[in-house]
Amino acid sequence: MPFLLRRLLRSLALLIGVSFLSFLLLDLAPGDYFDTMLLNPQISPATVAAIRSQYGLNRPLPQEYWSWIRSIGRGDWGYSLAYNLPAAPLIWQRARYTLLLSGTATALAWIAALALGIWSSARPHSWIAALVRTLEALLMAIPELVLALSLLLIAVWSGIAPAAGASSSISALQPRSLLDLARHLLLPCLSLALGLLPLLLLHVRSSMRQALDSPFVNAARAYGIRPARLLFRHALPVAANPLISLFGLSIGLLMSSSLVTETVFSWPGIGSLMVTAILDRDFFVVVDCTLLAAIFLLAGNFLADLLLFLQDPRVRAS
Amino acid sequence: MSSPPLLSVQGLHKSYRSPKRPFHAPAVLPALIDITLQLASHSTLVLVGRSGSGKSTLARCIARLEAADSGAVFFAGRNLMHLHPRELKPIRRELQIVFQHSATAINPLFTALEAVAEPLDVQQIGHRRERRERALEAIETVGLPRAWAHRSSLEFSGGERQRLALARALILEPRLLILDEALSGLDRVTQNRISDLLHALQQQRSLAYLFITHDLQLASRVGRELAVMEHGRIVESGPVAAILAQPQSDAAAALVRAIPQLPGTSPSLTA
Amino acid sequence: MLSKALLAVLAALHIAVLFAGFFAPYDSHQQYREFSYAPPTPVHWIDSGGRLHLRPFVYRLVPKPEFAGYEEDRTRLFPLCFFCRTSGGDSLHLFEVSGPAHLFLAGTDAYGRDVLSRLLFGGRISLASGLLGAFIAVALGTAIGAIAGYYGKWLDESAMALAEIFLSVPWLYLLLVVRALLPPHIESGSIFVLLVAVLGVVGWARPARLVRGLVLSLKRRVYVTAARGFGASGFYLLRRHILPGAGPVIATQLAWYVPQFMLAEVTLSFFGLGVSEPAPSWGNMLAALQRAYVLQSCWWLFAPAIVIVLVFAGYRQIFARYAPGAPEL
Repeated sequence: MPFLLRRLLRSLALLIGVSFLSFLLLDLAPGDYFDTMLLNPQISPATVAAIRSQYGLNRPLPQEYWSWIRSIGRGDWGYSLAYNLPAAPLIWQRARYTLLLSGTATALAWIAALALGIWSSARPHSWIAALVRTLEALLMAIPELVLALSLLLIAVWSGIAPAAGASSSISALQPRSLLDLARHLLLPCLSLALGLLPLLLLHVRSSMRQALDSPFVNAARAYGIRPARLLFRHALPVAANPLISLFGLSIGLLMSSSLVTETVFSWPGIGSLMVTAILDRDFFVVVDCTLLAAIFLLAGNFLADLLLFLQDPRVRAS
Repeated sequence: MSSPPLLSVQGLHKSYRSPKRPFHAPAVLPALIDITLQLASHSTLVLVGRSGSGKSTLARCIARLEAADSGAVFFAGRNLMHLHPRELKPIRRELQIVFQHSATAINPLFTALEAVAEPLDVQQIGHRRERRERALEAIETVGLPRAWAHRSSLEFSGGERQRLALARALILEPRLLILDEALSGLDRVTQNRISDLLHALQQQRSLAYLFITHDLQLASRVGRELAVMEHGRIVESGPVAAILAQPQSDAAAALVRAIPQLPGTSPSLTA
Repeated sequence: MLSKALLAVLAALHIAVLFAGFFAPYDSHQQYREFSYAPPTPVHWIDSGGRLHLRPFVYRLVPKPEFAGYEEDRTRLFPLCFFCRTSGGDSLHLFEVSGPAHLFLAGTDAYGRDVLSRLLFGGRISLASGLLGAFIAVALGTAIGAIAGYYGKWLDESAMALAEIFLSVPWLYLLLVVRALLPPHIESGSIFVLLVAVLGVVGWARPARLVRGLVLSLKRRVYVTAARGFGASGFYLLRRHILPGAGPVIATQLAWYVPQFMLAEVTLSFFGLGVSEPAPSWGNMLAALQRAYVLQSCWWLFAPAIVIVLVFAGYRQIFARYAPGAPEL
């Protein structure tokens, strides 16, 4: 129990550290972004002054930080200058789309990695194994950006699936139907999944290989245990150890792994929001997206620790 | 002996404290308890004890590689415990230590020559050519051919590496050499050869040895005075022959029993 | 066999980029507006009469009416000139053509600029960002990690805590945020320096953790304790024993980071946050592909993507050679 408690405290401490860093960045932004806000004729100076004081930007640093933290806790994540909306609902809306995309892609990538990885470890000399190795090497060399652009090209050439946005209706965030959404999801999801696959495959194969080469598996083999049983009951639980941490990390990356794919396919997620926000100098949104991504990553790391704790008796004993 | 001893340890104490954890009282592990011993120049004191009795800790405290909690270590009249690290540097020339684990005793990236000459580099003694020459001499002194000086240390066997470590320790011409299980892990033949070398060196130079081992048979071959350690204390001391014949403490008795003997013979010291 | 080929290609790429002025037929800024979006110029050995020429040649490109593309004017052939100097120019080129013909071996972009030339000159920015950025990040990380690992205690705790905070933010986001702090449009001279600095500042944490772990284990080696025994200072130990011991691992880490950092520059430039027009970078060249028309019809503009993949494959090959097994995440 103390192990988990320590890990949780550590994650929380890191979260505070990250939040402080974000706050510092907000503070450091060159030029008061509220000056840009003032340039917008639709916003009155009184509103600007009100927002300014609401976020406590005219008070000493520790107080500003504390009031910012409190407002985050309340659900008030700042104000988007570009969209002229409070940032929180905007971000949550886009976050759902990101989770849809990266969740599906991550699930696909894991299933493929496990299936291909385990099979090729079980039969290392078959043509499947050679194919898997080639696939892994090939995909490792192709960065996400290139992958996304290539699939976009295929989309445009073949017309199999739409190439941009999340829906065919005018408002990108109101899909016409589930089918429409799925059709739009197909290509970016495939692109992201192919991007995530090689590293997962590498780790699955490497940990399977280590497990299969270990002394106790060899001893079990010497008893004459059937290969299938050997694989699933003996080798796999051991190989699972590093993979479980990896899985936790995958969860942690759900909010951030899709940034490039989203931009290329114009998928309305957090990633593409982040990029446009930077170009628009929409600073609250920039910092909020980063904070959200960091929260997920920290949660993912803690999840990895939790899963490891539940699975590995050695960790429980320490 | 009318002249004062070269090394005099008085009332040395050391404990290890486990790092502070919340909701736990820190554990205190005593490693050395009230250690007092003396060593005259030109002589050898052998320190024996089981693993974990505190021998290595004592060696490191004497050489000031670790800090003892209290007590005094008089070396050539000066109390080492009170010296500032900068003042220690010249002392280090006189007091050297050779460790166990010949495998990592020498940096694998160094050649034999570089490894043996290193103390001269660190202490900045002499010019390049002098250092080279002294290192080559030291290598010869420990019984290795000069021609091997340019080989990488990886190409030497365990026994040869320990000889190199010895050469390295001797190159500064120390007065006291601490050998912390330096011959453990080597085969009997090599051990005997190196202990003969140690004897020869002691005759030629004015060297005192503090020889640490867990092997009584080796101990008897190396020196005449013995001190037995157990759980951080010195439980018995005196001439080797006397202790072997009539061990007073349990620790000494256990060590005597551990000497391998052929059936039908009594425990004997090596010839 | 394949690995050797990859390494050879990688080396060739670096050389070509380094000597871009020699290998590129044109300047990266030269526009030929009348030849916008021209496909790669075909090089021939056999002319329309069926005769074989020893020197390869090209035909003049003529725009087809109503923007339908380009066709070759076969009335006159223009042989390639190797190791020539441009008329009026002073730089030596590997190959070029004279007169009204053009040698667009990889086609042209929207402004009629030669893609091959832009590829080579742009490679300077992208590859240099990768190399310099990785070098700075690894150097900074090594320094911090070595000091933390060797001197320990509060130095170690604070350095590692800071590293963990940096590592708690997904690296691309961190990169973007730091970039966002800087003004949106920076002139090409200083953007490169700033970019490399940003990469270095963002990327120190992982190497620092790695080096710290290495130093912790190397510190315990007997030869280090022995050196302390004859009076060596901490600085000496780091310099002569610990860092050389960690050297091989650090070098292989570089091979992992160089392509990552190159990709970082490419991604930033692709988003319009890195090197901006008219200076070429593989990233902003790829940005042209975001228009559907371009994507569909101008396949030659994928050239930077191919080069990027080759660089990645080559560096991964170097890494795999010296550090087999799963890399640190």
